[in-house]
Amino acid sequence: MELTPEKWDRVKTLFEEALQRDPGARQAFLVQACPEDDVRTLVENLILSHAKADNFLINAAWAGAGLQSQSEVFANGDLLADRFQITRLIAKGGMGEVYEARDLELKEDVAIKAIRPEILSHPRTLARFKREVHLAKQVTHQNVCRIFDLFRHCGTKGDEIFFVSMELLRGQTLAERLERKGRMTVKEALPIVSQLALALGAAHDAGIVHRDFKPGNVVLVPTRVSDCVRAVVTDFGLAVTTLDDHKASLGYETTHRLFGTPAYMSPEQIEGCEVTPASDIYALGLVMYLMVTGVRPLEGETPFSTVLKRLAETPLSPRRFVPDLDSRWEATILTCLKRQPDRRFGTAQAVVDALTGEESPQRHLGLLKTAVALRVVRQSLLRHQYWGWVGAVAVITITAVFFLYRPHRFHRLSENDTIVLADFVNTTGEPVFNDSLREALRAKLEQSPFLNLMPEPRIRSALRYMGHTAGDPLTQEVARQICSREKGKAVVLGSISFVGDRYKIGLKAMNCSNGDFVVHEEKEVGVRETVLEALDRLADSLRIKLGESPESINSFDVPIDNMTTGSLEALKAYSTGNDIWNKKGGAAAVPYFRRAVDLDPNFAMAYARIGTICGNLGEGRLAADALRKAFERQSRVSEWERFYISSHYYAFATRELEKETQTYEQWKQAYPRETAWRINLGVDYAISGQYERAISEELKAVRQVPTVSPPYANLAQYYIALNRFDEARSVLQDAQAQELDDLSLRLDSYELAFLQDDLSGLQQQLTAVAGKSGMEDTLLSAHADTAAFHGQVQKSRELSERAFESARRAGAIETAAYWLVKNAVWESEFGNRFTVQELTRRALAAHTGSDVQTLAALALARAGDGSRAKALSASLQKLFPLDTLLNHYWLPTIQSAIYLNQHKPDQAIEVLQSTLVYETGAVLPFQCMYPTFLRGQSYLARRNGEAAASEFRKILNHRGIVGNCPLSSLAHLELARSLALMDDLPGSSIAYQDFLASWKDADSDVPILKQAKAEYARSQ
Amino acid sequence: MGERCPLGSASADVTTLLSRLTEGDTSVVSRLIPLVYDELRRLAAGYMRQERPDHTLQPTALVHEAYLRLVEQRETSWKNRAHFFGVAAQLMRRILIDHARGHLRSKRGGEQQKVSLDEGMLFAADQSAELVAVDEALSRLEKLDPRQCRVVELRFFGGLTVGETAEVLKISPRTVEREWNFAKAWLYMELKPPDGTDAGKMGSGKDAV
Repeated sequence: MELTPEKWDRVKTLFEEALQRDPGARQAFLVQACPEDDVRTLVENLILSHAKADNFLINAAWAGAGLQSQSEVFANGDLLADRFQITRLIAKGGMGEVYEARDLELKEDVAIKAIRPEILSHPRTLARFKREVHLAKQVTHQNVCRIFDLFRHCGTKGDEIFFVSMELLRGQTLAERLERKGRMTVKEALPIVSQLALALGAAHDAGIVHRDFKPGNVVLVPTRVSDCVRAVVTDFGLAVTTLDDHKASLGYETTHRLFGTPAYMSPEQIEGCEVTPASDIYALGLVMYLMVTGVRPLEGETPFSTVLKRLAETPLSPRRFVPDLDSRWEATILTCLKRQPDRRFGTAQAVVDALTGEESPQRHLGLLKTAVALRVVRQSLLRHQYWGWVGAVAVITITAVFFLYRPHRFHRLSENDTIVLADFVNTTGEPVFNDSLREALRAKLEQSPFLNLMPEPRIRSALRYMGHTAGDPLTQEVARQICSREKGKAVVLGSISFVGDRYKIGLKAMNCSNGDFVVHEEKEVGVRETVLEALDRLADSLRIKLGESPESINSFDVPIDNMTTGSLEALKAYSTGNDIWNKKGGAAAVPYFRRAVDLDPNFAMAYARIGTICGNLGEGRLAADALRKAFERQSRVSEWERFYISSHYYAFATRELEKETQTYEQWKQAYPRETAWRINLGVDYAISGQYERAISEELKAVRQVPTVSPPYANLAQYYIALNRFDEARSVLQDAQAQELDDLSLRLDSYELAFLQDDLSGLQQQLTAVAGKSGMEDTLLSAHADTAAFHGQVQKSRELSERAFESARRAGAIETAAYWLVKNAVWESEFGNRFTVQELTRRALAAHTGSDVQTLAALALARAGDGSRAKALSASLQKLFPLDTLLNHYWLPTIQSAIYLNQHKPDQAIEVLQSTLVYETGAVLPFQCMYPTFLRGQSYLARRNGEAAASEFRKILNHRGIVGNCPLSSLAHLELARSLALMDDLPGSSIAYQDFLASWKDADSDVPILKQAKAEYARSQ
Repeated sequence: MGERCPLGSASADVTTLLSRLTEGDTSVVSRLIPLVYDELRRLAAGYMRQERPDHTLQPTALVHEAYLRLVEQRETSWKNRAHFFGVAAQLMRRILIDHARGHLRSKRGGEQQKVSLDEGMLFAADQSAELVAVDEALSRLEKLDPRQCRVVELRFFGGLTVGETAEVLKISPRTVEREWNFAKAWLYMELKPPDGTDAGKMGSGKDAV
């Protein structure tokens, strides 16, 4: 067929149009659109070729060139220089081969490196090579491959070959190790990096720069100690600089330039400038990057682009690839990779010091200082993110339109400016975009430490003040009103619509003081699957336009579909779940989060939400399971989400208090304006009794988000703990004024009513939750405690059975079992040993969560069943080895009770040492000052009345902490006994009367009451 | 680090010419090509003197070297680099194809050549044949669609990315991708007819190994 220009154009057009159709529809399309047989056949053939041509010409012409091995210089058995007999070929390198050989003179095995003749053919190159080898010979270091000598071998054909004899190392190279087993943890990498740094340091001290430091030049030699390798750097001084001689021959200046692959070359080497130890530090940075991420930074698809990247670009943070990488490693690696040699570490040892924290190059927030051009970020993300995704990537067309950007009228946001996120306007008619896109955008913008998103609760409260209901849509106008009212700076509006058969996504930012649009960006995409990606890109631009630095974006930006989920349906379920959680509480939201993880089993944040809600509801095991799943999926989350997930994982799954607190502290550093860490950090402070610090955090939290209940509930609890009941009352009233109503607030109100002897107040709280599934059981159990406090054992039993039933009906089995076993603890104090056995048996049959087992062990220990208590303790310790409170508070308490039964009061006191930190803290699951009580009883057993009295007085003085816990009424009885020992009979008498007064309505058959009455009668 | 290394005198010229090219003045290409080509040839000559005759060229190193030598780094922008490689791509095509043809000729002569080069840059014989076949098909494509030919030249022979290609040709990246897609399909069809008969060797019907 003669292809005229017209025909050619038709072929191209038809080809493209056909390709946009489903494969099944192409033939029909072509038949209909193209009557000419020859053109149609050509297009059909092109489409067939297109399908197969995917990998065709994918590599540049030279890259397609294959590898072909060079013939070897030596053969096995060859005798070199009348001394070395070749045993085998070890490896081939750029400069020649490496052989294993026998040194016949010294009777030992050595390595022989043959240098390809042409490399040393120039006299000047040879001269310098000799000098370098001479220097390198001087270096004797454990981590440097020893170089013995340089030899000249005359071949049979009269050719001359130079070779170097070296220490023979048996092991794999670092390159092979990384190839075989992938990246390393920092724990694995640190000992190797330390040794590499020592090697480089030793060589630098001797005046040698490696010039070609790379994983292939590191041999990992196994040692006798398992898990311990000797890392040895080879080829010091052997990097031949060839090009300078070419240049010399061409009349150019002589410079030191390494000729070869640029994979590990520093920018100054690439430019042919002076090579210094800093060049090796750069290479070390590249190697460390590869070790911990498995990724070579600044590497392009072709040698060209690698060189260009090395010269012009800044590496991506290694955290891009390993989000949980230690921040010290991140900062250290990036410092090694500074473009300017003088901005890197001065010595190799300084690299190790920085890694181990001897000297920190940059604090956590120093992250913001690592600059990277945004464009680069996007490119590499695209590669990683969508790798196996869709052919659809190829058909994404993204046309970004920026206009109406008027910097002179809108100052970029400063760090304290708040923005309001309006609802996404969805005119596509596809419900999957409702809420989900706003949620995605919120998550995306939330991770920016620069942008201050107005918290959802504040938006809802503003809506109410403006006469709307909290659930009203946030239209552009409403959002702007809220923004103005709350002194925000800008409103961000998103939209999605159809343009033809394509989706158009828009993102605008409006200055809320004058209504001007300061940013307006749009993108079009062809398929639904790419909507999130387009939104992600728009949000990046938006962040820049609003004044966020590229450095900040680089540090705090995980793409939307990477951090949340790639599934719009899952995102929709998740955003609905968040909404329900805010409006109706956690329990109602769980099904939505469950649906989200059904749709995307890798949806880390959805697991984290489930775990948090379950943890709050006392379902420890469900919480731990869900948070473990979230924690395992952390590679897919943003910085913000990672803080959320790991802190909650430590809080509910491993229960490592210290790590939990540390995570909040880090979270605080990175996102100082965030509320979530603040509330939870307050809880952690309170656990160790630091109520003033806790109060200070919660007060700030209340100011930040006055419309959510946890800060109020926590604050009231802390005031109560400090016996500051009036302030607690006032906080609870504030919460009421916000129309807040939740379980924690109810519990605080109940506690306060109890402490203020407000009987009608108690009843009022009980009535308020009566019949409310998931709420009433908690207050029933609290009321059971109150009954036990008064010695009304039967009533307490009945109430706790009702609590058990109610929780069981609500599906909260662990909670139900907990109510039973808590009652068993009281029964043990009253001396009802058989009831204790029965209740613990039932509770453990219902659930074996950690709290249930802990309290069962305590009850059994107090009831004299030391062996079962011990068995339970041992199993708990094994199951939850990291649980801070279990191991430092509860297990010692149980052990103390066991010792006390065994008449070993000294040991009983001794074992309680680790509980002291938490003596007056808000410990979980409940605070009764048990260790103090046991210590008092131990002193009693030692007949030390004074010390005992002091312990029991401590309990009585902390009414706010022990509240309605029955131990606090029993403390009167024990105080009476202590004072009697001190012969303070009047004091003892008053204490007996106090006890009998609080037990005035007690069941008459309680063993301990009979005993107390008898003692009192005797003392009179 | 010490001073930046001094640069050859040609570098100022090339840098200036590149800047004009980047600004859209294509008239400078004719002045740029000889400078770049000269440099490539001088470098190649240097290699040839040093290396044994059975070594193939290492084009990557050549262009890389030429670029570093000719262009003042501090003044250079991403766009400048793209244009430099744009110019070099044509030269690369010429150098590569000349070399591949030479290689094929020597193969036909039956002389057993040891071909190898540092870091594995070499052409096995069938790859030489493939290159020549691509080149010939590309020459046919050039007559039908010069711009498409140029896209292939930049992408395949110059190793430019889509973005760099777009910059050099002053067209959108999307257009580059469309042209590239079509050209690949066309070249593939030319070299391997999609009629089910596997051509076996790229460039069948031509002088292959």
